[in-house]
Amino acid sequence: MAHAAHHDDHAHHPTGVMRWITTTNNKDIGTLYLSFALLMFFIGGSMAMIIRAELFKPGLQFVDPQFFNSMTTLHALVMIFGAVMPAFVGLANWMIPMMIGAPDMALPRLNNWSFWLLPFAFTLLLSTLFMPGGAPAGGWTMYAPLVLQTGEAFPFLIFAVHIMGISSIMGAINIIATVFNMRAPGMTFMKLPLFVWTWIITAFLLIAAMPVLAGAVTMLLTDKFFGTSFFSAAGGGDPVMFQHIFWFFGHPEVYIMILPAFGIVSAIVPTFARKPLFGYASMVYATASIAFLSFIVWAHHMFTVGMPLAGELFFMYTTVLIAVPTGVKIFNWLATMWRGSMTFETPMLFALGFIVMFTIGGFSGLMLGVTPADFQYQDTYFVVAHFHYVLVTGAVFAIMGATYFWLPKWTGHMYDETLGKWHFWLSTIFVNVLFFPQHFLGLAGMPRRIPDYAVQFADWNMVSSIGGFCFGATQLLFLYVIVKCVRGGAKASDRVWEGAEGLEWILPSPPPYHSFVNPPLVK
Amino acid sequence: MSQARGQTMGRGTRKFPRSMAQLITALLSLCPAIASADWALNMRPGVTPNSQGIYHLHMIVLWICVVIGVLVFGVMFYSILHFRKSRGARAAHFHENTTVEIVWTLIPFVILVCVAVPATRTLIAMESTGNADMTIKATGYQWRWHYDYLDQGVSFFSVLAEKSNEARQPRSGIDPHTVENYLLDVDQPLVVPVGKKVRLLTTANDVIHAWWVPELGVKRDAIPGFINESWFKVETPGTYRGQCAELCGKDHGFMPIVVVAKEEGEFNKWVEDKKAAALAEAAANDPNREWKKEELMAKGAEVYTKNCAVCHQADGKGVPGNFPALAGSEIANGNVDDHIDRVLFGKNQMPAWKETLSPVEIAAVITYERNSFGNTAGDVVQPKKVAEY
Amino acid sequence: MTPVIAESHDARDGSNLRRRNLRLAVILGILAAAFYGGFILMHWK
Repeated sequence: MAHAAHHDDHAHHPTGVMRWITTTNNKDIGTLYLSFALLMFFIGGSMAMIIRAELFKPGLQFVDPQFFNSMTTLHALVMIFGAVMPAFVGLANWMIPMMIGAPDMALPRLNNWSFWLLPFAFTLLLSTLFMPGGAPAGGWTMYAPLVLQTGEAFPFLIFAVHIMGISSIMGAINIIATVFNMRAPGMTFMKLPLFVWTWIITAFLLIAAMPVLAGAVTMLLTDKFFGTSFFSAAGGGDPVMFQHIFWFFGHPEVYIMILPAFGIVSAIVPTFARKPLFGYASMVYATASIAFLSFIVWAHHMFTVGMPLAGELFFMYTTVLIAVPTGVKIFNWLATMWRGSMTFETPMLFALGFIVMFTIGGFSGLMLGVTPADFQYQDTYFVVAHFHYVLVTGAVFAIMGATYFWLPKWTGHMYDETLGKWHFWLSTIFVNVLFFPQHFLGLAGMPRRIPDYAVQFADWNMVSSIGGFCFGATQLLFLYVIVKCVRGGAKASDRVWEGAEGLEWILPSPPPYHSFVNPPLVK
Repeated sequence: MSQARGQTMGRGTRKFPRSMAQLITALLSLCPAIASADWALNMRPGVTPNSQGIYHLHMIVLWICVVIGVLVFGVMFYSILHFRKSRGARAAHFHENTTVEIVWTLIPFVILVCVAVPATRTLIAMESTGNADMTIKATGYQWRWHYDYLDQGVSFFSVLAEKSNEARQPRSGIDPHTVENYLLDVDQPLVVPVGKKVRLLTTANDVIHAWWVPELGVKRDAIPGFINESWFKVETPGTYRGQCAELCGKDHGFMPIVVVAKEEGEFNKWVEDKKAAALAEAAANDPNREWKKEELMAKGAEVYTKNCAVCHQADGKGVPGNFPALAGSEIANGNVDDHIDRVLFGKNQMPAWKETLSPVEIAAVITYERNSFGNTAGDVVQPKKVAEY
Repeated sequence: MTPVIAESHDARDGSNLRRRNLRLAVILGILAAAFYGGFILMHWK
């Protein structure tokens, strides 16, 4: 009894804002991460609305070109580092301890710190909007020497990236320590849910890739302020070297943003097909292969810099090779659905939307991987269409699906299924109106990152902008559904979904403050 | 206007989704405002062996993707229709099969090999820059291109055409649809002979740019301190338009590329005319003679509008926080040597103009800046002084 | 506030979890720092 009373003490946490600032509880921190990601999703989304408004028709109507470039730069940084990555860390915080039968994350104080660094990083970054000289406008890729022309915003950009990097690395360390040390008895590695598996692999990618980005931006900083010339040809350096280092980080980063999404879809599809995931082991191996390949394909982002023929061939072959393990994943999901007993609640709709549209993004990725063709696609709207298909209808759709899937577990209330379905269908229609025409624009010859364009691009740009505004507005519905569900609703059962399997579903909805104080025995 | 568009980007065939394009156009003809539109859907084959090689490769991979897509999505939608609980489907319990895993690993691999073979062949052809008939060097500047015909001794800058430049100013009030070849026109195009293998060297003076003309199948980064090689051989005379394809700062969207391909005889005549014009201009702009203030002011106004007004604005008031004002500035009213120094060598975002503008142009623009926008330095800067600075 | 983990023991063998977690975190942290320093030193001119 004394033991039980002792643990009750932990539920006595400070109230009000201090609860959130001092919390070391994985669920509180998960909620913080997810709320922060949602906020950033709307901030980054507003920037996208400005971009689409300016591109609605040819001519400069609203913003000047410098500010337009700041918008494309910040939109990318905010969405990647502020929305998608923190959303996945938030989901990991909520779900991983429950899925492996642990009471909390392994390093709770570190967990608190890695979240609370983020608001500071983004305050630094977004404050540049109000600086003389404006926000960074050299693209999120920060290519030297252009980025060195940034004015007072430059050190703010570099330090913001550093802080985001530290936050991600600490988050990754925490997840690895949790999964390695805190699994319940009997929970072997090959019994881990795929979401946990994809996250461990993602965490290793983060530890290997984020320090490389930090190194690259540190070199930019010393080039600008301390007279080094890592990237200046005049001083014996090499501007292309920046691109090599950046993309050595950048390509694993792409998989950091998609592997946890694979894990989410691998949780949702079997639940609503009422059938175990097909090819569990091959899914794990495919994820690991993708992670390995992600380190040897980086130069496909820079085929036009003038590499030797042998280099171009090598990176073409490794790049198209990624299609093999990615295909295996798609086929396994299809085989999971085959002869299942499917229902189509909102999470399942988002997972199916993910499979179709991520595959479309995969096809354009295969096309981009073919070097000679890439010479025409590179830096056009074809590339913009490609990475928005894998990031918006890929990563973001998976995050939305995960939100609907686990929201009843987190809050104890069912969300509004009708509104959820409306959200899915409106999002799916408009996201395609938004991004599909961008394939045509790119093939017709429209470069990316331009604030104004020749009149033959006017038609599809107008269609794309209309899709953009509607997609943006639809997300307000998402916000409404979440708020409504948090505030109340029909009581959710422990299992929530008829076909749900896994440790998180044996806990009550909402789960106790510390999930498994006494670890369950996994058979 | 629509004719101009047809000539530039509408050229070439849209074989693949033609019926779809017609369908969409037919639907949109209900709405007259956009019925005249140019709903291009696919890449154009272009006019060089390389661009056509790329186009065929693009179509091969596209069709492979379409076929795989139809199969994969077909299976998926079949499952969705038939294996739904509402139709009474009962879930099976199978969850692994090593044979199918191996099969669906090997089949994509074989397909990829089939793609890689023609891709490798095309790539090797594209990278063979040897045996060129002539060499042109393109240098990217913020935000203009400089062309140097290494064999003919002709060189010049190519900037956005004046009409486009006026219309593209923020809130200019000019409808871009009324400007011929809006944003895709330059003052002096790159002229090349048809049927000759042209080796193109690309480099840059400040930041990274990329030289891209879709119909020539050439996109190559222009990197300061490095020289990249590529080549093209245009087979049909005509005008081909492209743009800078690497973010290079504020006016990245406003440094187009125009290539005019002419028969060899016409090309040679163009070279002679260009050389004669260069000699005449050099004679008229002799930096060693004494220039009158009115001459310098007139030329200075022209140079200012073309080069400086993008940042410092036509009224010399700059953009607060971004680009300093010249009206009443310390540099434009203070020591003339500081002013010459700044224009020649630049500072931060201000480019160094030493290599871009001639001493006469620099002397003229400095004289203009010191005697306009309410500035009253009153002095006249002679080209000789700039040349010797 | 003391996190619940602080007094936890491994459910499998009863070993001190806190020490093992910290040790793993330090190893991974050193690994990250080595990548960071290594990449800069590799390009030092």
